[in-house]
Amino acid sequence: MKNLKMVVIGIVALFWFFLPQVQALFLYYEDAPVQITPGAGGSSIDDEQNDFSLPPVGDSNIIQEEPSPSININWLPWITSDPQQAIEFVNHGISTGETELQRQAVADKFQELLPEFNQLLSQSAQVQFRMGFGNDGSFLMEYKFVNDQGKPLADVVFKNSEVAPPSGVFHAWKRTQTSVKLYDPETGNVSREISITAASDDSNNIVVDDKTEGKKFVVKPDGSVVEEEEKVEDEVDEWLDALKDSDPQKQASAVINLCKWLKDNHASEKIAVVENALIETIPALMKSEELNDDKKLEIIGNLVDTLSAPFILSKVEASADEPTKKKIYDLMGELLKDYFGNADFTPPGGFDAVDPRVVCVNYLLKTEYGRNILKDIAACDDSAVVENFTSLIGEIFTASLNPEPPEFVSQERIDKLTDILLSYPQGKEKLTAEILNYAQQATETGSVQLRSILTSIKNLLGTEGGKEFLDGIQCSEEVREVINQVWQEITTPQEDVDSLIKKLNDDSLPVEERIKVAEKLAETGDEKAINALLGVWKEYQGQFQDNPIRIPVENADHNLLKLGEAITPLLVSMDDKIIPFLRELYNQSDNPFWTYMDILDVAHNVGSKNALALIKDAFTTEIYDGTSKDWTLKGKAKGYLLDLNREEAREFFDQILSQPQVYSELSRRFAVKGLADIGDDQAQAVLLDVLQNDTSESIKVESARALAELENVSAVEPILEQFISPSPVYRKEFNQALKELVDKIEDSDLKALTLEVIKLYDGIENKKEEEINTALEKLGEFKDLRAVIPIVRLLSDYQGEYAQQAKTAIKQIVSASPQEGLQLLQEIHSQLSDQDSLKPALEDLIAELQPPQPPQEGPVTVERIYKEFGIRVVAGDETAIDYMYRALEENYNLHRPQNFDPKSIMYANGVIPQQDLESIYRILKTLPPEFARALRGKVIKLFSNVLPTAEGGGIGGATYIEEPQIEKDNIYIFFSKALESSKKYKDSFEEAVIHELMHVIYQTGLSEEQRSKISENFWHGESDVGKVVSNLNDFADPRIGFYKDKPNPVEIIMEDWAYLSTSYIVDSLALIEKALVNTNTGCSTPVILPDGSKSSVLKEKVKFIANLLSHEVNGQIMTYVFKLQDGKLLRAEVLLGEDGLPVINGDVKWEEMR
Amino acid sequence: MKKIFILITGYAIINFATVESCYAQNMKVKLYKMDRENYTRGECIGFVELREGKLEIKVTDPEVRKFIIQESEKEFRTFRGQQKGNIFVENEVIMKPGSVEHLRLILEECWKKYRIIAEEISE
Repeated sequence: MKNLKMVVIGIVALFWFFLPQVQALFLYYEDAPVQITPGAGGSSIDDEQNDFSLPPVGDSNIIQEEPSPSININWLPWITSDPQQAIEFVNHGISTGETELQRQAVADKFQELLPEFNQLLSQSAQVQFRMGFGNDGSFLMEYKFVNDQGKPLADVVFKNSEVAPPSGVFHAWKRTQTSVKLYDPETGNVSREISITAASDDSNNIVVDDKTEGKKFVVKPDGSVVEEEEKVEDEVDEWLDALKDSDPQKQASAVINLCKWLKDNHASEKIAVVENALIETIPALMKSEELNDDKKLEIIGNLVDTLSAPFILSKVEASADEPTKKKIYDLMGELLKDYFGNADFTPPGGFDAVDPRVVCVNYLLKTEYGRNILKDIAACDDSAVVENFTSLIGEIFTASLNPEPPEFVSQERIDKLTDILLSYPQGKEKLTAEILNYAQQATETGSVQLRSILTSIKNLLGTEGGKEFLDGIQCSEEVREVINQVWQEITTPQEDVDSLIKKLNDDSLPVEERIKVAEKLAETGDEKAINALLGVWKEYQGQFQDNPIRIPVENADHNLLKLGEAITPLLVSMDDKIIPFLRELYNQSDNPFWTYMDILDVAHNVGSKNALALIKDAFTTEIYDGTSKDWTLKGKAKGYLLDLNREEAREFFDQILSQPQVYSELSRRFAVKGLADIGDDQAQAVLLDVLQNDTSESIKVESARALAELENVSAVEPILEQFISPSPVYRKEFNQALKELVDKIEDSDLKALTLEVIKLYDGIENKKEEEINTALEKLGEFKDLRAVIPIVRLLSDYQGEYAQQAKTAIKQIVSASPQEGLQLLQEIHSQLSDQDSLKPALEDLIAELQPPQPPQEGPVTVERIYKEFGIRVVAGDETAIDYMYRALEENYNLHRPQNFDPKSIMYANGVIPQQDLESIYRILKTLPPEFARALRGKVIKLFSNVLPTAEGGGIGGATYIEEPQIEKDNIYIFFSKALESSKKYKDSFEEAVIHELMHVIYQTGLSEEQRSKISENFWHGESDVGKVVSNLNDFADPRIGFYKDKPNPVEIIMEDWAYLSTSYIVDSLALIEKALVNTNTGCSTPVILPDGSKSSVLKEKVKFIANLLSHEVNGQIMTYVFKLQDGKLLRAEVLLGEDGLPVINGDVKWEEMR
Repeated sequence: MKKIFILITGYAIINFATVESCYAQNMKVKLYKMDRENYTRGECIGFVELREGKLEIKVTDPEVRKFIIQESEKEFRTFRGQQKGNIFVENEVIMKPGSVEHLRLILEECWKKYRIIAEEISE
């Protein structure tokens, strides 16, 4: 609709402005029908002559010249026009303007610029015409002229903008832009470009812009033509020429004009030329007697009003003679008086360096002559002038005190301004106000400015005069104190500190005098003084032999000793200054002169609260430089802390020990040492607590050592408990602590037991089996439960060398009190980590010691499964489904179907069907104990159906293992008996459950060695290149369609393991026989074993599983075989044959585990 | 009209190619009973051939033949596992009658149930 409206408007406009042309067009069209080219913007005039492509829609020249390039044009299709008619239209269109005179002048100028235009157009063989409507309301027409060879000749675009409709009915248009481009017919490039534009202001001027020649002409309504840019340039050149004139009046006028021009054209390229001309001319004019002062004043007045004034004046100042400079100063004085006398005077409101008044003041401040002029202004009778002057000087003064950045403050400038201010009463008042202001601020910044002002006062009035002036200021006591303090600092000679340091270090001076010098230095509190005193004190420290008894060395410098002794209390008295200084030194880790130890020595000597804090920091500082520096530093810091404040040190050590996450292991060990040094009952209680409850083994060892040194016999039993430590090194350390304590033990039983433990570990240390066996036998005979922990590690450690003897001893001990014994072993078991090798050994022992459990009656429940196997079985919920989809999307790019209802795969009311629970129970019961153990603590989440995915298919069993951020140790099983009973699934519920459990067992139930063995053998891609299609281990074979795009060996290994082990459990006999058949038929990849016998990959895998399930029964190595029969998993115990495979006789006794 | 015709023809070709690819894999399998003493191939009981999605069963043992015929008409679903990181997922895979995977699954069942060894013969 909008386009239609635009077309209508366009046609109306066409008739309005171009009536004869439009009529002619339609007359022409009667003979030549309109040719409509689809996609006119991008098509060519003649399909057979493609060398002149029309610009694409909207890509019009006129648009590029628009101030708003975002204008969008809807072009109508190109139509062919009569060339002769078109030339007439174009010529008519070019002669634009408000008046006939203007239109004629534009046409003449265009003709002048392009005399060949009409001749060129007359060569055209074809003309294309189109109309367009801009979204800014403009209406455009474009003509393209082409010669008989199809080459472009010219392109003319008229832009007409909408103006207010004169009649209120029709829209009116005004030609605002005409663009003419001529082309070189040979190259097709633009050879000439001219635009005719209506001025955007109200002048009604027309600008004819010859873009190719770079000339612009302004055609006014009266028909006059002016070349635009030349006019301005001419003006400046004219004035510059006038400067060379001999007539000073003309020169002066030119200078004034140039100054005015400079003010308005500070970005012009001609600035440098003008500035240089003014620098040359102004001094001469200032000297000229033919010019009166008013003219000269006008020159200076205009000059200081330009941005170039400071530059020009500084150049004039450098080159002009004295009388000229003085003349300028005087004129500026006059100028300022005029400014200040003006009733409308307002100060610039801050330091504005280009404000003409500020320019004048700055210029005058430079010389004494200039400053005197300023003083004269200040001393004049006109109170208004003085007031305004003070106001401006005050602003300049404040700005000079607060430059950006602050370090740019110029004392010389402050001195000059202060000099002016001190010269008259109002100035003094202003100065006083500034002093009070900065003294009251009493901040660091404030004091800098105050110091600057007072320095100026001192420089100008001298110490006494200045003091007198300051004393005359009325102010409060606090402000007075600040002023006096700053004044004192300014007037005290600074060089004293340096000369005093020289004297302090001068050996030729009597020591008494040097001591006095040290005292004076201490009084100054100056950093240099502190440094010098510390230097002497360090030398003094070097005069002593090492601690603990401080004796001066034989060749000690006695003067230095005296001096050092005198400095020692001085350092203490300087606590508030010296500790920050030391802290800074301490933080400079690359300080070549001061070591950490030196700094601690000083801090120790100062002994204040601040010093104590510094030493504490040093104690907890970690210097990881690979040397023993850290140890020595901590040792020294510990000693100094104890020396300075024992109670505070105890609290500090307690704090360190109670925050293992904050303090390093080393700091905590030294804290234990510190408590050991304190050694009282309170400290020993803390040490005992640390020994029993700390999480770090090394800290426990340190505490045990400390308690042994303190002969604390109550530590014996806790130390015996520490033998549970997995590190043999720490057990050795605990044994050492026992050795130190054993003689002090009064309880004879405990003493005997401890002695045997010591002998046991001495025997292990020295590898004396006899001693070990004897100790273990005796410990067994004691039947004292306290002996269990020191023995228990032998079940798994030391390559299991003493496992059997240890087991016997523990059994013997436990036999005296079976219930407590079993409980103790279970407690130990519960504290072990999953990776601890002792755990399985202990589990076996516990299982052996456990009295046989009567079979439980009644139905299988979730609670029963948890109680017996430590595995929680729960009905899967929506959260689990959400998590599953998140994981599936992230890892597998599988998405949730849109209309999926989570409840459709969840058990009704969250109740798992009894038969599913019983299946799980039977599986767990049937699995060998070590497999079932690997599943303890896991959660099985069951769903009633597979999880659908948007891409089709679904997810069956899914195992999630150790995803600590989200859920840990969960096994998801999306399957159910109901599905199985539909007979569509080849895998049964039991198989799905076992398969998922086998994944978990792989992760948590197998050793690293076992897993690496699996990695060697369980790789289907390589394992079974045979022709037997019914081989069991092709489940994860990459040759199978499903695995073709998943060539990740790790995946294949995992799945191979899970499928093969499941196959073994579901039907061991089928798998064993398959292994044998495939080996004999060569259908499984052949393997030559180390003994030269032949085997196959599949057979080796089966042997691996059979071996994994092997166990000893009455001296015979047995293994398990399984089968799934009628949904029930059966197990049989059979001999493991010498060939590594289970021995299957005719009568395998299958057992249903209940 | 012409365009629509081309579209329909193209679609039909593509569709046909897809269907064809499903049955592109043919397979011929020779079946043996297991020699229980030596754990190797025993008596040959016939062939099973999958060609163009159709199963041809030439098996002498009536029980095995009946089992294969009965199973060959069923659509099976089973699972194929994948692992990424510590996550194991068993994707549900559909085995349609007439596919090699389907036949493999039946032969696997034959092994479990009757100890029938299936050996693929290259043509």
